[in-house]
This record gives sequence, C-alpha cells and structure tokens, in this order.
Amino acid sequence: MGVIRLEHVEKKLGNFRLSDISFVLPEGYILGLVGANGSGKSTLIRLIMGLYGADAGEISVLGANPKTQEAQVKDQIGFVLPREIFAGGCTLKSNADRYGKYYTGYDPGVFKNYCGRFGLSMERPLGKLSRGEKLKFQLAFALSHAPKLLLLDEPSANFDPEFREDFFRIIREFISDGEHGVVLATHLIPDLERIADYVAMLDGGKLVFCMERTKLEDSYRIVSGEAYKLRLIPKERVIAMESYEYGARAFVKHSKHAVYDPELCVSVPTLKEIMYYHAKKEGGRHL
Amino acid sequence: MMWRMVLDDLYYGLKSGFKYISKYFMCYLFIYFLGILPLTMKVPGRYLPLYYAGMVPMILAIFLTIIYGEDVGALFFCPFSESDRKQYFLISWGMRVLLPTLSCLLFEGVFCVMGFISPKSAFLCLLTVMFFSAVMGLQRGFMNRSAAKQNRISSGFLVCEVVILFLGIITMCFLGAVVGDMEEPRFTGMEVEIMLVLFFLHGVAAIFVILRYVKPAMEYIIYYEKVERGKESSAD
Repeated sequence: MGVIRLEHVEKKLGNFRLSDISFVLPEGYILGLVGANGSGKSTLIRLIMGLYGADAGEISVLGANPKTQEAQVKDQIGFVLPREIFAGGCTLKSNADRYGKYYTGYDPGVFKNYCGRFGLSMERPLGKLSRGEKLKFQLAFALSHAPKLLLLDEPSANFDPEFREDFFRIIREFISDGEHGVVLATHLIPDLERIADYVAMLDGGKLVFCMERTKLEDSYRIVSGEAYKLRLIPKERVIAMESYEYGARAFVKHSKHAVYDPELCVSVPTLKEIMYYHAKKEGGRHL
Repeated sequence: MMWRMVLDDLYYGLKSGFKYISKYFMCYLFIYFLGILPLTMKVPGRYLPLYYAGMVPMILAIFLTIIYGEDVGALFFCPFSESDRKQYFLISWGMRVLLPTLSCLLFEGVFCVMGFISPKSAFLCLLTVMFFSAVMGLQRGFMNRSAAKQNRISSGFLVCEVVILFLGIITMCFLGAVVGDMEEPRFTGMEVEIMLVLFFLHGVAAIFVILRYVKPAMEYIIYYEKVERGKESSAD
C-alpha cells in the first residue's frame, strides 16, 4: 500500500506550479526530500498533510485521502515544521495537554520521557525556548501521539551536533518496526547520506527523481578526461558537462552495460554531486 | 469536541490575556472609558448604571476579541476536519457575542429591578452591545495593523472594524453619559436625536459588515490555503 502514494499530483499557487509529482514511500523507510529554496518541498509536505488540496492527481497517505479524510490522516501524522503552531505563552506541558487530547494515541508519559531525553523543562513557556528547543518540543509532541508518519521540514539544521546524533537514532528507532514512515525535507545532504533510504529531488516544482539512495548512486557516474573523448558519450546519457582549459568533466547516466573509454577517469558521484549536477542541468539553481 | 477547544482557548486566553493588555495601550483605553470619561463628562450618578451596563460589556467584547480565537494554527495541524473548523468558528464567534450580551443583560436586569434604568434604554443599550460584539468578535484585527496583515485581514474589514468600534463607543457615550436615560433624559434637545442617529448608523453599519465579512472570516478559519495564499513569496 505504501505510507505515501502520489500519482501525477499538480498544484498551482500563484506563479508557482508543482507539476506531475508521482512517487511511493513504502512502510519502514525514510524519504529525504531535497531541493533549492522555492523548489516546492514545503508545498509538497502541505499537500501530504492535507493543508492544500491538489488541483489534479491522487494523494494517498496511510491509505486515506488527506483532504477528504483530513482528521483521520492528521491523527496519524506527527510533524516538525519551521512555523510556530503552538501557543508561545503556555508551558510545554500545557501545550502538550491542550492539543494532545485531540489525538487518539496521545500519551503524556511518552511526552514527559522525550522532554527528559531532549533536556527540555516541561514548565518553561514555549515562547522562551530557542529555535532548536522549539523544534525538539515539536518532535517530542509528535512522537508522543504515536503517529504512523513523521513529516520533518528542515529540522536538523537547528539542532546542536550532540542532539543531531540522538535525532537520527530516534528516527531509525521510529521506522524499525517496518510499519512507519518518515519524510525529511532538508538542505543538508550529509544528513540524507546518513539516514535516507529514498531520495526525492525537486527543482522548480518538478520531481527530478525519486529513488532508493543506493540505486541512485549506481545510476550516475562522473567522467573526466579530454573533452573530445567525452563528446563521444551518447548525448542522451549526458546530464551536465563542464569544460576546463585542459579537459572536461561530465555527469552521465550509468547502467551496468555502459562502456567508457579506458583513458577516461570514471568515478561514483556522491549524493551532493548528484544534486549539484541535476540542479545545474535544471537551470543553475543551487542547493 | 469543538466546544471543548473553544472553552480551552478561552481559559488559556484569559490566563495570558491580562498580560497582553497590560503590555499594550489597551489597558489605558479601558481605564479611560471606565474611569476617566464619566468623571470628565460629569455624568450624574443616576445615569452611571446605564453607562456601565453598556460600556463594561463593550470593553469585555474588545477584551475577548483580543485574547482568544487568534491561535488558529493548531486548528489546521491537529486532527480536525473542515466541518470541525467551521463549528469552531461559529461557536467561538457565538461566545464572543454571547458573553458580552449576557453580562449586559445581567447588569441591566439588576439595574432595571433597582429602578436605575428604564426598559427602553436597556433595550437600546443591549442592541448596541450585540452589534458591537458581533463585529468585534468576527475577527481580531482592529487597531493592530501588523496582526491584521499577518492574518491576511483585508484592509476593508480593518477600516469597518475601526468605524464600528468608534461608532459603538460614541453611541454608548451618548446613551449613557450625554443623554442619560431615555425616559428621563439629561438633555432633551439635539442630543437625543444625535444619539438615535448614531444608534441607527451603528446598527446598519454592523449589519453591513457582518453580511459582507462573515464568509471571508469563516474561510480564514476553515481553509489553510486561504491563509497561506499570497502570504508567501516563495513556494518553498
């Protein structure tokens, strides 16, 4: 069934258009969502949450339509978002008690445990916390109502290095039973390299790719050498090409049948390089 | 379920509301209308019950509008449906009208029984409070442009709200402080006519604003897209 299933989803917001987005996130996996500012990551997350309705296409979250079965879907979603949703004047405990009771699976004991683990004082007003602490609170609250899906929009950049390790461990624990899913939108490629099972890249509202991270690294190669030899590679395989004074470097599609000139230097690209060359191909936007 | 949330929001709003009003100039507004104005206008003691029976509920309407119904973020992120949010809007709006109206009725009831207010004045006073709180409670925004802008409140509504605010307060000042009781007015000339014109204008303006803005105000609570559309320059 898949935790999330999107089929040809379209959404227009002013001058921006999210077009033809299709992918499936199976249970037990983490999807890393990456793209430049304005590429549509947050719009996609809002569509998955049912905050926006799709103009076309089908969205299914945990087997339900997030727009028509909004309450049912949201009950199963935990979120960490950059915007402030909870009451800044209330303490962490008041906020959790105030909003937790609307979730069927909310457990105050679990919330208390996570607050302790994250070093958060439950009696402090939310408004007095730092940016990173507010996100920790959101994470503690999200985990305390036993969601099936976690939607995390740029959380880790605000976490201190020590907590970041704990954060990755928690996310891994969360999906370990094979019934949960996580969507992590981030600019931090090293985070994706560490944790993501699937990687989806958006650029200008289009899905550049969405595939398993291991397969992604097998699908491309960086080839460098003399420019005239690089030009012999079939054009349909070349995604991006950079020329230098004494040679050139190409980012190409790779398959197990692909053959390269023995004088060319062929290397496996890192995730960062894959993102970089795709962004370059799509119009020079940088991550 | 939404009753519970409205009452919760009211409870937490009351807790933090006093801090909020003491932080901004609102508390001076309250002190002026409840304390300084009747003194400076030398309102005779027998007309003060009428003045307070109207002015206290109107101040309460402003207070309620400021303190709660503002934090709509959780409505979109907690497990609620569109019909739940519509229910929340109607109940919370109802509360913001009902509480000032009930407090007005309570004061008027007591003062009528004690013989300080005539039923005719009490009726005019009650209607003014109802019109006033119905518009004020529709959406927070008056006299706070940044909050209005943040919440995508149209400038038209903001202007209307401010007009109703001043018309309501002036009507109540005329009814309680200037004219006094309709059965036994302080002045019998132009003041009574001005008061009736103000009352009529206030009522018509309030009905116009409610009919014109109730739907957009409700949509603001129901549809997240309405709130967000145009707010973000980027679609990230």
